[in-house]
Amino acid sequence: MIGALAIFRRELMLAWAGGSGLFLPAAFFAGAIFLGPLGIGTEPRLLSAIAPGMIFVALCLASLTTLERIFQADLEIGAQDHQRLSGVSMELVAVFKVLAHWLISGLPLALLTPVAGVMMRAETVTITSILPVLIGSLTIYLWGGVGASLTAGLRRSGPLVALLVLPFFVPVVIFGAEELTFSFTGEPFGAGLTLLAANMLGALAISPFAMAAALKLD
Amino acid sequence: MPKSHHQDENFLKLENLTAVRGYALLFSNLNFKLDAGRFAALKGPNGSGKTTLLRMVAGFIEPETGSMTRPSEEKDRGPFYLGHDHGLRATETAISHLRYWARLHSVPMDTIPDIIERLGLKSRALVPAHSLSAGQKKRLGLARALLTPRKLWLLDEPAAALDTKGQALLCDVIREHLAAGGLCLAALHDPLALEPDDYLDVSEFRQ
Repeated sequence: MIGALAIFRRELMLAWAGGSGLFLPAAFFAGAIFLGPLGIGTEPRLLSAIAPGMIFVALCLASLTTLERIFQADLEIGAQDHQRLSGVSMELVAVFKVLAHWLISGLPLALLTPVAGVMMRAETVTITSILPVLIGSLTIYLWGGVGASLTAGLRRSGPLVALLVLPFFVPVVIFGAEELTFSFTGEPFGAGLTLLAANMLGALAISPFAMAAALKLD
Repeated sequence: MPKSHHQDENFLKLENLTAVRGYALLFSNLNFKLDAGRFAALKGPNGSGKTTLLRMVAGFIEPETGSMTRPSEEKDRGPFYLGHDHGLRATETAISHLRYWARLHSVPMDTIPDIIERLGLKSRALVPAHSLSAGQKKRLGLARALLTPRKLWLLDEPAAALDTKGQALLCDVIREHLAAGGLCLAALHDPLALEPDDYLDVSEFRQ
């Protein structure tokens, strides 16, 4: 566990030092949301109706900008070999790499949700509007990590990762957008939020084993 | 992962190992035994399977046939492996890399300054890895070996890119490791100042 935390800490430090496009997903997300009103027009009812869907689509696409690098960065330089011999279980290594990556690129997207809501003329924007995107983004990064681990050894694997993991994003988009609609219209959250959280916990339980198995294929 | 059948193995034993890469048979029925305190040089022309054998012993590649017994290491660790890749991200410094290494293996960090001094990296300790030379990165690899105790060392061309001083340092480090009861298996093209106790020519096991 301490060993896995060392990896977590290193990922955060290296991301801070640059080199992995720290703000790339957040910039992509903000750009996509910004282009929405320009293309659709400023009709408030129309904009607020499509806002939750657009936010989740932008979230999925923004996550894909850096997803393939989660494991590739250490695999190509041989650092993953060291981690495999360190005695720390690869399941922990994999899940902590994903969590570090999510903290750097996924969490800012969730924090941008209220701003995106205001830009899309949502009726009520509260701090709890973050919740569906927060849970959804973590789920997306965990399932995305499985795709990233399977394609870590390939060059230019970005499009392949996208094809592999997009089906896993479907429930997140369906329930996430529904719950965000409730939040933006001032209604309480429904059962979708529970299902969203269940999906996240399922991903947290299953994905480490899938990622570790994929990373051990030489 | 190859498993040791006994708790306190102190030798490396390879039995009937066969390796296939792509469609090519690299070696078959390879047998070898290395005892504690001994240093073996892995020989063979380019592409004969030296790196494959080292990665197989490390546990990265499953052998097609055969089995192996490795010296048992502390805390489920694998052997120490020094490959061609340096394991350094472009913005990582020597000192931050060794601190990460110590945390990863749960070993104390207080020896890091001495190790950096000994390997002649003191003036380069805070320089990002993209500005280090290949030889300096290799020295940092040796620093990793000194930081975590391991019985079995697997070195892939450890002398490559090292200057005369660095090679002397490498020999010293290996000598100390052997004196402490360690084992070392190294792929070597050019002879080191340290005479190996055993030789293993991979190409002899090619059919």
